[in-house]
Amino acid sequence: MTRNWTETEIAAWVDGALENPAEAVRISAIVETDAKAARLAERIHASNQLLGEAFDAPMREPVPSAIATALAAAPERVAVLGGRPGPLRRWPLAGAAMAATIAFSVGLGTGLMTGGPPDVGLVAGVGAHASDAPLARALETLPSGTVSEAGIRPMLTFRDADNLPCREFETTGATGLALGIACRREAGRWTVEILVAVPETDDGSGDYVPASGPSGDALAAVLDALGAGPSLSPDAEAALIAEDWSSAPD
Amino acid sequence: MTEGLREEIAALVPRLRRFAYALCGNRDEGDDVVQNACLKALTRLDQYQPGTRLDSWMFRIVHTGFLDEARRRVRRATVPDPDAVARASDGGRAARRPQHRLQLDRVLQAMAALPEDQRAVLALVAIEGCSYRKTAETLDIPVGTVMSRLARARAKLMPLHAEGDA
Repeated sequence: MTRNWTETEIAAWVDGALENPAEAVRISAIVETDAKAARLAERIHASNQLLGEAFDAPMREPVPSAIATALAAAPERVAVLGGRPGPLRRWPLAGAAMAATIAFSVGLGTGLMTGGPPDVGLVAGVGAHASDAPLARALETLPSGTVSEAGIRPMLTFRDADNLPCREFETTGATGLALGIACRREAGRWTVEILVAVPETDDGSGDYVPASGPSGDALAAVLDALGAGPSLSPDAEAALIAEDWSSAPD
Repeated sequence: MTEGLREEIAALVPRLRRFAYALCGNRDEGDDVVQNACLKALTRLDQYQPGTRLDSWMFRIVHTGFLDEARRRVRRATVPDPDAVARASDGGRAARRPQHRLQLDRVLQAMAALPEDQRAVLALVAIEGCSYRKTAETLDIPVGTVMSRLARARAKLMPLHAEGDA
């Protein structure tokens, strides 16, 4: 006797996905009388159960505090990616309407690729800056929050996984505000790891990076890759600057 | 309005975490994805149409967040690390027999070894109990694609389950 059912039908029946009630009745009857169909139905059912059990742990737990905190955030001040404490945590969003941002490099000085038309996707690794370049000078000497003549404002300082000092900074380029991360790999030389553009907001403040979207993700990815530690306190940073960045980490 | 939605999303969090866990194969990664999804949802509440399925909406945000995360990771473990598997255990309450525990571990590994598109479909249908239509809407794919990915995923997974049957 030829089979009057398909494996897909049995699976759909087990999954509760048969939309036609008459079909469901038909397959039920088949499963009751056809041993092969019944075995298949049982195996699919067992597979579903096993899958449910394998990933079941979250169902028996309360909401973790990190997620509860995220849910409690005011939408206009949502910040931060992931569970990693680090520099990005301090950057709130500029506004509820966030367009996806596009990252590209902006011309800052020697050694940089100059920006072309914005591309979807990221241009990172914009290269090392010699100590006399405006960016290096700003990063070498300015406390976070102050702005150089060239419009470069370091935002905060942290150490990467190799304990090299790194700084997040703002700058304005040909196409507007940009945010970047640079690390001091050799004496006086800062290497820009990444530079992303920030969209101007309606109120013109535009100082902040969205937590989601390609720019925020790109910055987070670089921080991840660097193994960024927590940001330094103003005192610790001042001490570092005063000692030409050579003091040992705490 | 917002407060009510926040509470509804909070009520969904266990399922979102379960779905993210199945997608990522890793509890911590899954929780990161869910945290980001909640943040994104809060900034997009105006895009949610009241009266439509909030769980589908949230599953979709979790899924796209997972895809974004997957794209930017240089190395993705295809086998969950032993610690994650240990954490996944409920202390052995349900899996008293070692063979059963072994079977669950194999399921975790098998899921992680599936292509992402098959994993997402299997997670929504087999774990979250979504209909094929709802799965199709959540993942923005045709129902036929749901069914074919499901079949391929099960073809890989089910022989492993059979091995476990003593």
